[in-house]
Amino acid sequence: MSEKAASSTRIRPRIGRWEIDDQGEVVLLGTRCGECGEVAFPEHQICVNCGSESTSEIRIKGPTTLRNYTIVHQLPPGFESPWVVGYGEFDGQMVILAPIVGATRDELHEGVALGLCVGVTKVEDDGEELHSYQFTPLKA
Amino acid sequence: MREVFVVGSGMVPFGRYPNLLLEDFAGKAVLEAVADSGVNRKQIDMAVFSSSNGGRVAGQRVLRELSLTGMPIVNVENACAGGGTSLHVGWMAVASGLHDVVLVVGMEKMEKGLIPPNPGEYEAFLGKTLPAKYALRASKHMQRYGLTKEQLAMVSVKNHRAGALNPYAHYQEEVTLDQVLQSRPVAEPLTLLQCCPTTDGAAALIIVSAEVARQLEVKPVRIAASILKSGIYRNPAKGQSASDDDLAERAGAAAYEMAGMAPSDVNVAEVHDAFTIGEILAYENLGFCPRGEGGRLVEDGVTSLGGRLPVNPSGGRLSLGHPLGATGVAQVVELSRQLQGRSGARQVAGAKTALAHVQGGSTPGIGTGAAAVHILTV
Ligand SMILES: [Zn+2]
Repeated sequence: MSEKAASSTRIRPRIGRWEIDDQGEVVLLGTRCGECGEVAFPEHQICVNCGSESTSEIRIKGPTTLRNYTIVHQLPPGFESPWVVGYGEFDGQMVILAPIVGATRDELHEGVALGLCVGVTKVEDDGEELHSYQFTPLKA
Repeated sequence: MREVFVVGSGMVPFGRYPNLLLEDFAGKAVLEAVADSGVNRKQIDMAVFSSSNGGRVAGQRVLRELSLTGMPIVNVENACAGGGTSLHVGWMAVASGLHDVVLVVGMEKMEKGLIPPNPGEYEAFLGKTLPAKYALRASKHMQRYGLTKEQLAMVSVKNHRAGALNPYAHYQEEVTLDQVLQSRPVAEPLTLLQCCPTTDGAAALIIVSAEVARQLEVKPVRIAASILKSGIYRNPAKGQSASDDDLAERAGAAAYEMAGMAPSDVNVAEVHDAFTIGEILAYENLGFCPRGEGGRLVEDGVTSLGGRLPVNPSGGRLSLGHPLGATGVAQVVELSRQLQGRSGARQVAGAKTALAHVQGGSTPGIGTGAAAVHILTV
């Protein structure tokens, strides 16, 4: 994140944490329940599935399998239009919603593998760029 | 529990009231409901109001204009399900024996354009607008069951055709399939005419105990079931149904059980068509047809006026309009009048049993926040 973003006092929803590993890959930081095994991203200290308080961090990597998507044309200020969002499935464990960037219509269909990246999702009216995890077609 | 009856209904024409306050127009719906029921308005011993944008003590502000003060007044917020929620709260008050004559009001003034997300809705932050949420449900249904764009659009055509006959509807004009499909895309596959417009409005009901109903001259409509549920966590990656569908299914099943009825007993329904796909999914979730066959149900005309099970004879959210907190109450205004045989050109002949369904409000990870289902019978 930019210096500007880091110093912002804007309240933002907790979209989930991520880091970039040694290979430059985006890793999402979620939680796994110690009782029922359910994986959550963004993290949940209390399991979303069974209510157990015994959860621990889990590292979630791409690729993800696209389940479905929509091309959004009417958006709040700060988004590029059209903007694509879709649900990716991770190893039959969980689904995560994310923006999909750099894809043509032909590249978007159920079952296609997408990689994880990080990019600008929204630009605030004062120019502050808000970053998030995103899905993008895998490079051949 | 005691039996509860709808004995009066009132509504202002849905539309845009940019220069009026809630206090200026919601009271008209209240007075119409009171006059319709024949109760003395001083008999009202509790009031429940629903709105999402109404601000603090909205109900007290409206009733002050009518010199109705002193009683318990509850202000409910439950997004698109607020109206159904307020009826449920009123129903509890009468069913429990605590109150005999309860006023239920849904009212709203809307902001133009997209409904802004709550600050904590992280999926909205990523670009999942409310239409996008429904568009994602539509794209999934198209993939899995072969729902077509045309079938989706037919919901809008059907509901506008009904709305054109409803003097309370915001848009009293028919639209063609081509107009719906060619209107601008909002979130694919949903086009503008498949999304509810920005509408203000208010609707009111008087609900009473059997004892009070017997003293009135109106034809009472019995509330055979009143159910409110909230969403639970579901994991579609593990083959579980989506939480939005699961919620409506659970609310519907509980309502049928309470009423001792089955989906096949329903003669007319109002369901949550804020977006066309919402109505298709409601057919399936409420048991009007098997899973995956909602598109065919609308295409075959089953849910049109004149069909076996007319759905959204008011014009629905798409044509009547969708002032969030007012919607669930307006549905029951429409349905109670249908059961009383007062619906004019929109009358569903011989209707004895009606179902109202609203759901709405997004909670990340657990889908829709609330769903209310009511079954009415005469
Ligand atoms: Zn668990």
